[in-house]
Amino acid sequence: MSPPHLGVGVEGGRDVTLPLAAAGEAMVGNSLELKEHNYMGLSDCSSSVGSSAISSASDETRSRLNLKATELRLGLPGSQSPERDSKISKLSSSNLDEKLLFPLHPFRDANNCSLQKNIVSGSKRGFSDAMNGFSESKFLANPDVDVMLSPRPSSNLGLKSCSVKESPVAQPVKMKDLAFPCAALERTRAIKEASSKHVPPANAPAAKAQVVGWPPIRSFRKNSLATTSKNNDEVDGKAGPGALFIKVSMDGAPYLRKVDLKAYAAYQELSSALETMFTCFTIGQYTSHGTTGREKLSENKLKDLLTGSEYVLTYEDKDGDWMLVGDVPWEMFIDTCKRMRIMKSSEAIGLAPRAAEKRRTRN
Amino acid sequence: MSAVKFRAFSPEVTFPEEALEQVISFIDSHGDRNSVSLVCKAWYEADRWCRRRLFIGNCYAVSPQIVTRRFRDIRSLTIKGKPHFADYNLVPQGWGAHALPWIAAMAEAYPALEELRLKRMVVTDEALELIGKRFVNFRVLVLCCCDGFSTDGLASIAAHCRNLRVLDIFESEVADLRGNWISHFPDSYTSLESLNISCLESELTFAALERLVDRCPKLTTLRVNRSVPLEKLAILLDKAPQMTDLGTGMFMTEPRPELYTMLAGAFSRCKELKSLSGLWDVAPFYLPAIFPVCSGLTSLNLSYAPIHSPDLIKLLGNCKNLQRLWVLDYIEDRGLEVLASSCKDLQELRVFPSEPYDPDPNIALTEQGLVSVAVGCPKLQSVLYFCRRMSNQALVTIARARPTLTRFRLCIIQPHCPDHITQGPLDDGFGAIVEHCKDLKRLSLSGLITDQVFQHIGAHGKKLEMLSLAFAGNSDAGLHFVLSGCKNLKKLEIRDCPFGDRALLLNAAKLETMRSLWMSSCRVSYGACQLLGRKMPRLNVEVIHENSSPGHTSEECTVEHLYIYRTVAGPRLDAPEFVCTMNENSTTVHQPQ
Repeated sequence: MSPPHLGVGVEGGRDVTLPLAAAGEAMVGNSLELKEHNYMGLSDCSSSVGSSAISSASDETRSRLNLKATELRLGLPGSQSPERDSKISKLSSSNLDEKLLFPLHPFRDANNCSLQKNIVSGSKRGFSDAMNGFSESKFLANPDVDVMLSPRPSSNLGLKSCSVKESPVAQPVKMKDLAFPCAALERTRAIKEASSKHVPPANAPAAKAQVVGWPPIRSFRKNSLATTSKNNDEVDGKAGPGALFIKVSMDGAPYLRKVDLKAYAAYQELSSALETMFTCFTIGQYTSHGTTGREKLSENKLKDLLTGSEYVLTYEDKDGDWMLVGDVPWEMFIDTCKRMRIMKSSEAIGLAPRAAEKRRTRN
Repeated sequence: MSAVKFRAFSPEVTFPEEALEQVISFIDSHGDRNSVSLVCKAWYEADRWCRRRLFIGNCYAVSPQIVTRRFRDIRSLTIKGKPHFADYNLVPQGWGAHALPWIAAMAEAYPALEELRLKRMVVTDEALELIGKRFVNFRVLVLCCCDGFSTDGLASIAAHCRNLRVLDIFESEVADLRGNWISHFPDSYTSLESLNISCLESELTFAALERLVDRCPKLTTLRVNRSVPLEKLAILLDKAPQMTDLGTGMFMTEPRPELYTMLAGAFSRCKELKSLSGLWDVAPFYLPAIFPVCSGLTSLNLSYAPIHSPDLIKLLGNCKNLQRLWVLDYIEDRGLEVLASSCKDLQELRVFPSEPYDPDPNIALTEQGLVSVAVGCPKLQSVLYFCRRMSNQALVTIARARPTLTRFRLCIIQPHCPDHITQGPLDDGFGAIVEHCKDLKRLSLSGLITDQVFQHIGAHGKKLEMLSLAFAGNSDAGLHFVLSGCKNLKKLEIRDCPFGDRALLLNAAKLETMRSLWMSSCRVSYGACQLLGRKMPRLNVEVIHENSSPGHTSEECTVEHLYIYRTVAGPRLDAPEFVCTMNENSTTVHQPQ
């Protein structure tokens, strides 16, 4: 074979648009009937299916091909010959006659089983398994859609689509089914951040398994989305069945704390817990204000601080409004509270005196 | 240069080299420079001597030695490594694209190198250290989607590159060793102009960052990472009102009126702000603080911001001059309608999925949103759109309304998703896109696709340079249409399509005119790869095994991943065990490297 000509000859050698355009309809039509049979990892169903399709078509195609067309050649520029054009127009129809075109491959009749055995796909799930899982879920979700590939050995490939359309003149819709086995859902590595997001339908457990790299989103974006949703969940308090953690911030404190609202039964318990948590932040201020000048640390100090005019306990409810803690019954408070803030009384204008009074009466 | 009487076409007078070099130096475009170098030997030599900027689209198409032998003095180098599908975990780890050999060679040959831009390459700390120590006048480092380095590497860049202007590690995977690498910028260092570290995960030493911003008066691009809280952002903005490109950190904290005021004030003082991004975790309370800058924004990246439609609409309504918008599908159809009516200068739209793995999230984003934008925005050129349903009707409308599209990437999340109205394939819709959009350079298909669409693409996609296919087509005819029809095709990437040997072998010569072809989970046999490798010495035919062992593969086996690219450097010497390059010696048994 002569060495390939690079670059320049490309245009000249590629002029196959004419025959293609003309034969386009025929080609597509042909390809609908004469389907590829050697899918990767396709289960037994395909072999019998394939054979029925092949045997009906192969005679036809064999008669159309001449010996020259069966010669294996690389499509090199300058080596294009007229018969090549006609060969190309028969490309799809002669798809399945690999045995004629490829001296590389051993003679393969319509039986695909031998091909299957050679396919190196040991650790992957069989096509039909993956397909069944995937297709079932889709089918159940969308009953209008044609039935996906299902392992019914009796049916012809071209008729694998919904049972209604039995005509041999396949329509474009069926292309989808035929394409399915090649749609390699065989690789189903679960993507760790995202697979736990939603509950799959009970009767299609494989729906949860994801195809590698699909949808095409970069890892950075996947990780960011996962973190964002985690943050949002926390904010909404959906941390788990047994606990209801919400953030508590305090003005002037360098970091926030989290409390589990379910751990308390009443406001009193909550405020005690908060006092204990935030004692360390207030002691300095307390002594600097020099109200009493006492060195001893005690909860009483903080309590006085809280019930005094220094701080007010507020929370953000589901509507995003900041409310004073203590107005509503405890159960309702737990339901609506999203986060809390220990606010300086000076900011809680108009609230502080009432708050102080309320606390004194409550205590 | 002495004055020389020059008479055109006179054989005894030659155009002085220096003059030729001067003239050629004005030609910037890489393609044009390449063409210039092919005119004749004299021009080739002139280009050799005066070329300063070099673009290498595939690091294995050429070797560092070939480059350094040819060009005398390169100041700016751009190299791309792994194939695009590596972004989606389709290329196994350890495949290659190592930057160190390149940087080492450059350090020897081009010590005056100033700019290095790497994309999808493995960059080690050692490589970064080499950059810092060997290139005295180093100014620009861009690592886009790279990996293999840590913050220690960044520290050495900071410490040694006295003239650094740009440090951009866009979406790279960095081992965050929690050192305060930013503190390694010396106090005397003041030339920073652009810093993009938004992909770093752990906390920055804020004080060091603040001091850096303080002493670099030319800093106009600053994209911080998620760890920077809102209060700190306000401080940074205050110090740098000359900012043109800002990437915020966390845009959320509990509502504090005084912080809001501070933030709004800082933003309103940024009169030059053109681009805004970041906005991780947004609290709607603070969003209006951005409003003062909205009318000046040309680029807005909200694709990490969980802001819902009503707030988005309020925001976008202010952005009259927006040219580029990246957003999550929370925008929904109605948000896109508002976008179409407010932002008449829009050129690029990207809509990303907020819940990509949820088959049916409660988000009202359909094909209608894209149609509104295509119809309403006369300057729209580039689209990336994730959605869950599409129709031929919508695609045809888009194609007819917007023939100026140059990039059209549609990702319908469910593979094989049909036209939701006709339940048929989307061939006609995509066909209309290629037919009407005559300047289309990049196209990604999804949904239910048959061979027919490839016929359209082959017939009309004459300017198409990059095509991405997934779960598409029926037979080799599809691949053949594309390879034989698309004259300008440079990159073709295919996954999970029923394309086999025939089309590939028929169009083998085409492969030498393209940069690369990637096929994974298709139906190409090992034997065909061997044949290609034997017959086409200027192609590297890489068979990449992922799950199976590379040994004992027979000719009939289909290959998992196939990466074919043209090269003048021969089979690469750094290929790992799971990569077999088919060449004239290739046999059925894998020879260990």
